[in-house]
Amino acid sequence: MKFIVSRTRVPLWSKEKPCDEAVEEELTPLDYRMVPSIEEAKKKIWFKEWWEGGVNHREENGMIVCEKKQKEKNWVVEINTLEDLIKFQEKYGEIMILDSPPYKEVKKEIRILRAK
Amino acid sequence: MSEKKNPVATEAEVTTFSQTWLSSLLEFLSGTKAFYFLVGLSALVVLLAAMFGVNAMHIGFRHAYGVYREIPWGLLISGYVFFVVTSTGLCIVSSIGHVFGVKSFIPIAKRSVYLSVVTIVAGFMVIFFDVENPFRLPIWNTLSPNFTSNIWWMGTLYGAYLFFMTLEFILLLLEKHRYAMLSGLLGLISGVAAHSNLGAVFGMLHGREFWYGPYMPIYFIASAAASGCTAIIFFTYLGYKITGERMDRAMEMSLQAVGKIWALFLAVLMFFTTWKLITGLAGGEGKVLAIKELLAGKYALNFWLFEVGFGLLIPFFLLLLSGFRNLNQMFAASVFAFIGIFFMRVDLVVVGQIVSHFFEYKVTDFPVLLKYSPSIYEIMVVVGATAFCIMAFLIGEKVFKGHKTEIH
Repeated sequence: MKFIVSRTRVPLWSKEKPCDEAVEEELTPLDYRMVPSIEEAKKKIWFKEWWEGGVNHREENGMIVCEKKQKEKNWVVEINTLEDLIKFQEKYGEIMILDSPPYKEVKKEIRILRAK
Repeated sequence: MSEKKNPVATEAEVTTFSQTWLSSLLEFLSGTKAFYFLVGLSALVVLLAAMFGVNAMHIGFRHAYGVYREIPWGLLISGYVFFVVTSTGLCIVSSIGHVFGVKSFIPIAKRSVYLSVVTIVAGFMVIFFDVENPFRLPIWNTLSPNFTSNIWWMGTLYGAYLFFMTLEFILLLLEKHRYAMLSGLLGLISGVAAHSNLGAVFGMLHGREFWYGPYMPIYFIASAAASGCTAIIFFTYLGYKITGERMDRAMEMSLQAVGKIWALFLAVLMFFTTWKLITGLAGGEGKVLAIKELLAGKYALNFWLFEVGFGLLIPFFLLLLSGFRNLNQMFAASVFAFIGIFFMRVDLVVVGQIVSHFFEYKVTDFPVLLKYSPSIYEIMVVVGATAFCIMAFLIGEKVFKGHKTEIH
């Protein structure tokens, strides 16, 4: 399973990997809007931008969503077993698992709180 | 010979950037009727306010405004303080993310920087109509600087602050985060210096007991941080309502973090206010008179209902009630706080002047406590600056597409 990986502090002055295993990947952001149907969305100010900026527009869980054409780069790590996750935690110290910003390829994020 | 790479932006990047801007501006023309109605209405109010301001300049401020020799600072100075405090606060709180790199605060960065530029411009608009000849400022500020004047420092430092914050916003749009960080740091330093200096403009006036002392610069910074949190929650919530976008977890966590800092600064302000009143009541006679007027006199409603109720207690308890998770409650807290903060600024500026300089002489027919009521001209200038902020916010949401920050 792929996770976005980040640290609580972002190095703005240099482009450092958050961890050794991290790989930079282009991810597809999902653009959710809080309206129940595409018909309803047509009346909204943002509809044109939303429609033209994405593909595969659909209704999902009472919202509408599309996959954005513009990809975003993110640091990603692949962890497939609980043992791998424990090893990762032992190597990097305290970590937090949270919902990532919505992407097609990745749903969860690991944040390294305090590196060892 | 190898060609040197431009460290800031390549030609191709600038072209892409200008194309993006062009498409954004064209997109601005694709809004709904409601959007144009709100933008048009705000623009109309700005225009109307400018007409009031220019007319006041024409007929003379002493005729148009409610201020007079004994109370020279009125609603316009309060409005100016309100807007610049908000701007500095937005800069301080958002810098935790985009200057110091704290991940949780990064999602709020772009919108906050944009709004800090908008609110400082609104502040300048208000003071433009308060100063009888505003064009003299840039001329004599440069040609004949007075380094011992707080107001000289205020003009200079706020000028630097506006420059760095605007530059930072442009660099954020260009995704040049290293340079944006540097510009943000310089903006933060000049902003904090300018703002504490604004506090010193009040705090260094020996003649006004209510203000005098080292409290003001410190209070101004604490108050700015609280105002910044208010503005971030208020405008981010509205921004998401306008675009109908679902708030992602990163932004939710960011607002939760801002909410916690806000609660902390509200508690700090309660502490400051309490001790200011207690020490003030044990102070000189002029200060006691001003504080009594604030607590139980003509300004008691302003103080107890708006300043204490709307500005401090209601937002604080709404934040606690929300558990820093319920964004609707946090937004409601920010609405109350905005109203309360405005009255805080009015009380701070006006109550500091209501005690007559000559009250001790007990001159017949000379009042101990002076009166001040703002004129329609002053009210309209402040309303105009508020409308400018609304207009700029709406346009910003549309043109900059919800101010997304992509740092990972």
